[in-house]
Amino acid sequence: MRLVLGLSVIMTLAAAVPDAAAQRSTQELRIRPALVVDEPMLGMRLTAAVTRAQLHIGAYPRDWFIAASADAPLFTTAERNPETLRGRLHGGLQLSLFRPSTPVGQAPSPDDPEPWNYGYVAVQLGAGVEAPQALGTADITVGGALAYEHDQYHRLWFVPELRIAYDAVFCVDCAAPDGAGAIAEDDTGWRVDGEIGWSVPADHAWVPGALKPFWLRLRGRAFRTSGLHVEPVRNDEGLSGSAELAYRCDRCGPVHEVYVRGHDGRLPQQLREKRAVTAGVSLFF
Amino acid sequence: MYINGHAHIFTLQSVLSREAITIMAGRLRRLGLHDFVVHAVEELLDAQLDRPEYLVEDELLVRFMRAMARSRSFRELAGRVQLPVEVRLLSGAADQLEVRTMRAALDRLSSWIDANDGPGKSPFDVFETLRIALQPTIPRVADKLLSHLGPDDAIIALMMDIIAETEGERDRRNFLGQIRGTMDAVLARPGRVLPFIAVNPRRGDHFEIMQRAIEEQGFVGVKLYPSLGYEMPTTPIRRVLDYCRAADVPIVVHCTASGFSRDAESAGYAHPKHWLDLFAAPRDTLRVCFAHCGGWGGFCAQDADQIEWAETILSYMDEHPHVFADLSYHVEMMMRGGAAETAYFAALKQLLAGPHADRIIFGTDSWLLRLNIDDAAYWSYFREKCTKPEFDRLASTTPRRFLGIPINGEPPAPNIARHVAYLEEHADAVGAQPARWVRELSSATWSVTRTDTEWSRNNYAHVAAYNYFKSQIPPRLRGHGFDDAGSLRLRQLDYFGSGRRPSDTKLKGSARNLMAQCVAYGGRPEASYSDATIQPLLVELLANGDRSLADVGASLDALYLFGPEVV
Repeated sequence: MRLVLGLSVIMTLAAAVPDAAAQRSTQELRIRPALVVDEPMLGMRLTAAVTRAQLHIGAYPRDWFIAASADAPLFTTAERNPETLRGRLHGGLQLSLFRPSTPVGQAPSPDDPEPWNYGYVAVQLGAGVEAPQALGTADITVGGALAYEHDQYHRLWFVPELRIAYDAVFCVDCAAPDGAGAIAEDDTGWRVDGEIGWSVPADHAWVPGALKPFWLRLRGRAFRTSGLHVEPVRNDEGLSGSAELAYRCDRCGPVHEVYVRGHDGRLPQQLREKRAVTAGVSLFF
Repeated sequence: MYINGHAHIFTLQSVLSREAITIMAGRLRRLGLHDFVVHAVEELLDAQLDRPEYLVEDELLVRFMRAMARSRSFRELAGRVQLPVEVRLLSGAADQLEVRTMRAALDRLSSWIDANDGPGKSPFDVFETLRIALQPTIPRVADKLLSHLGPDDAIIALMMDIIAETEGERDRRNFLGQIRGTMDAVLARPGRVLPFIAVNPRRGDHFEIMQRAIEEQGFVGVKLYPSLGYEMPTTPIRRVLDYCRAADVPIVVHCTASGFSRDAESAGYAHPKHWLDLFAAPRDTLRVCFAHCGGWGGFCAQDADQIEWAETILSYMDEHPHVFADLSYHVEMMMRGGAAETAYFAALKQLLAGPHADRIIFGTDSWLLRLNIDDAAYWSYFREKCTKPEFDRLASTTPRRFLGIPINGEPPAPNIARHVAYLEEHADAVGAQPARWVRELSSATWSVTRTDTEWSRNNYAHVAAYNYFKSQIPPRLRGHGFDDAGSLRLRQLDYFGSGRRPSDTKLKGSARNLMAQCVAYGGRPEASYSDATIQPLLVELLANGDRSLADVGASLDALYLFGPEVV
């Protein structure tokens, strides 16, 4: 377990701690203090990322990159946290589905056609760690993933962002944690893990002005694990999802959103709680 | 109609070279500024030389303050004397201070220096000067100087040619860019920006450039600046003067021992005595304005070193009917006050009541003047010290006579007729209705279709920024297309999403795509930039939701060379 703890800390720190040698632009850190609505309890979500990249410009511009990221929802009572802590170190190729507009006449003009711009696809290889907040057990994953994301939230609001990963899973400390018959028959397996998400802005002509800063964010996750027979502490398959309604505030100091978020469903880790409704603010640093 | 008879609208970018930085730093040192202030200016300009960037005010402030805090002389000062607390913070943690703390530190430091070293050495004034001089475009500088004037008032915009022979390509690109930018300003504000082409005979094709500027590009006069390293009584200068005589083109010549100079010897080249053999005796028809009148303290006998300069100019006025002098950058009497100020205005009023009454022109020398005082304050100061008839003569009738702009319905001088013809050629694409004097001389139909040059359809960088982002402008904000888009904030664009900052992978993607867009439009990174160095700058730019689409255009303009700019 100490190995897992060590890995988690390293990945979180790699993502969160400013790297003096890196450009500031390659780092992000968000902190989201929250209150669990149904049974009052405090929580905080920490997300961070660091990226380095090697650039190629041309048609379909692309970056070879290496990145570390961490997503750590933390509750004051660990056992009641329905989500897991995740960290990932990965690298690969990110390719823009982009072709620039080209001049129709002799010189560039604002009337040139729009560029062909449909987001980014990435092929990634990497390692990750996912653990419940109680840190009794953890999954270390090593594998590859395909990801699609875009930043055309109005034009492509209906197009989801996707990530599909296929990983070898090493379940750490999964054997008989309490001597109550939870025997790990096999603590190594394979997992297909898919995630999907939509970010939908309310900023449309027909929406009243006061409501325009609202955003709806929907996330879903599905997984299937094979060869990993540690039933009391892991699920073989499952579905989970979250819906979040956020109100963006551009001139509120470090607070940039107020949100309400609901989460429900089964994750690869067997958790005592499956759902929670939280409300909080997002702080940006 | 009032005219500022001596102004500069070039940006620092348009004259920047290693030599220019050395010359500017030399001038700041002669003004008695602290070493750390000069060091900060040099560091900022060095960075701009190698990595030109468009800096908004806050960024400029942060970089300026950090550069000061890094210098040894600042640390020594902080260790030697008790500075105000905000200033002391600079020496400890300048990298962590917020912008508002930086601003407070600048104010406190400037007050402290004013109190201890006397006026005219304030880093605040230097920062304000940089703020104007580092505007992204020449028309934007012109607009700053015109902003406090009436709709028919004008400025004489004097170009500067600090030639840097050892930096060939950069030097030529700068100078041609300065000409182009000045022409942009002329068309953006027709009749209000009256451009003088800089002539420096050390530039091989200076005569051809001057000739084209006067005959085809709307320039109304010639600016000479001998202390930039050339002597006056030479064959090339005589050829220029002959041309100006024949084409009836007025000249403004730098005429004070201060200002920019390559070295101590060059400073002496500005002495008016060098003109003795250049006038065609007797009663030369050449229109010449001796800028600064040899210095503030000459004609009022307050500075012994300047008296001979002023007397020489006044003697030329006696001999030649079209010799003028301007009152630009006369700040010493303001700072001294008392007897010096009294003597200055007594002498000025005596001049305005004497035979040379119609030879003295009001001018400010802005933006360079900002090192000491704001342009509007300089106007107010002279307005207050002179009677209205005196000021009208200084700032209206005399500069009109010098320029050749009709006062009582007479025909315009040839240089003005050419200028109006140039404006008429572009009547379908001016940036504003012309000043009244142009409308009185021309029956053209003026079409105000030229957009603000900070966001122009004629600028490839701006068009590249617009075309990349136009599909990301929410439909309700699309308004009038390109023209309205420049003022959109980046947070209003699709890519910015819901957060305070888009994710880094997406920012990198956006920056990468934007770079590809520039390349597709023929852009190539400025010398000393590469794809690898541009991407992080664009990531940081695109991450700031407060920046506008026009800011992106200006930054791309600084980072890339596009077709028309490639020399």
